[in-house]
Amino acid sequence: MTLAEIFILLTASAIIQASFQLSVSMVTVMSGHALGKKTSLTRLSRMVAAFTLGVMTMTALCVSLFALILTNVFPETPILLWSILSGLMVGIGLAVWFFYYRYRTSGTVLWIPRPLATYLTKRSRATSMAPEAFALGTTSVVGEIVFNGVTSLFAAVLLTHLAPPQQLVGLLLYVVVATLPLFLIVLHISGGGSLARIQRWRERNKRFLQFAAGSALIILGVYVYVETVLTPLASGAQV
Amino acid sequence: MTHRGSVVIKLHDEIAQSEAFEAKRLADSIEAACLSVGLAHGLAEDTAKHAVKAVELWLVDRPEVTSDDIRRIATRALTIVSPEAAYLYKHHHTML
Repeated sequence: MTLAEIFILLTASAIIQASFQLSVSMVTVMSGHALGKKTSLTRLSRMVAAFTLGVMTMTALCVSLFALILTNVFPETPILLWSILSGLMVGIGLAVWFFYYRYRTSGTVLWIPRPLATYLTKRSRATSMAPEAFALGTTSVVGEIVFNGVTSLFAAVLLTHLAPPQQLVGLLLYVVVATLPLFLIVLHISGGGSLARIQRWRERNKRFLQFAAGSALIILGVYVYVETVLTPLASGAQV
Repeated sequence: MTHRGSVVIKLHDEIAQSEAFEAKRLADSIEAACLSVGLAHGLAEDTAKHAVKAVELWLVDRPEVTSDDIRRIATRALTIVSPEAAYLYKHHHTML
């Protein structure tokens, strides 16, 4: 794989992670409740920024951890790992298509089990300080690890093919792109924008986001399979 | 005849629980929705009072209602003043 290919795939993977909605849902609930409790805009902006920083930190930690494990276990990425990864991407892509949003519900009700959703909602509402918001941000990444785990793992595999300075640039690129929706929300809220507009947009476009994320994962999985499994095998490589 | 004594039926995990209607609680949650969309404090308070009044009027002669009924009537009253606050009030429990 060329350097350009790696960075393009890294960006694609980050865009897929950016379309997952648990963090956005939690920051919307947190902000709505904080404003309802007459929290000042400055304080709320600080909380939302801390939440975003928490998401960035946990995303970077997940990708780095996967990369560290991969580097130590596989000095060179075996074809078997690529095929497992592409299978996972197609499987998770299908799961996004069918399960990401709950059917027959209004709003943006996600796939997560209801007791966990109730707990996360309660925690989001109880958050009133920046450090709490930071912790909540880290939790939101862990809470959706079933879906974003595969994109993080793929990013980690790609990073292991880069030189150390390029790895840092790649990691930074991945984290920034994956948290882009949260940056936009920080800007919107800091500018005094309405939360109802964010939520309405999310509700109107939820099926499109679901279809796009699922399709992108499936396409990426098929591409990875052809590029890293079929092509080397056709040229006589061993599994 | 008055709304006082109206019982609100709530569904928790498909188990029905009943409780007395509390105007203050309703006003607080409507006010919070108004503040969430950036309405000024005074306006949010007035809007909440107006919506609660509409619900109380609707409750006259209705001894037993569901929490969904209350939400629907409050949303209807709120939509006239602030459609955005009404939207958030209606959907705040379906965001996650």
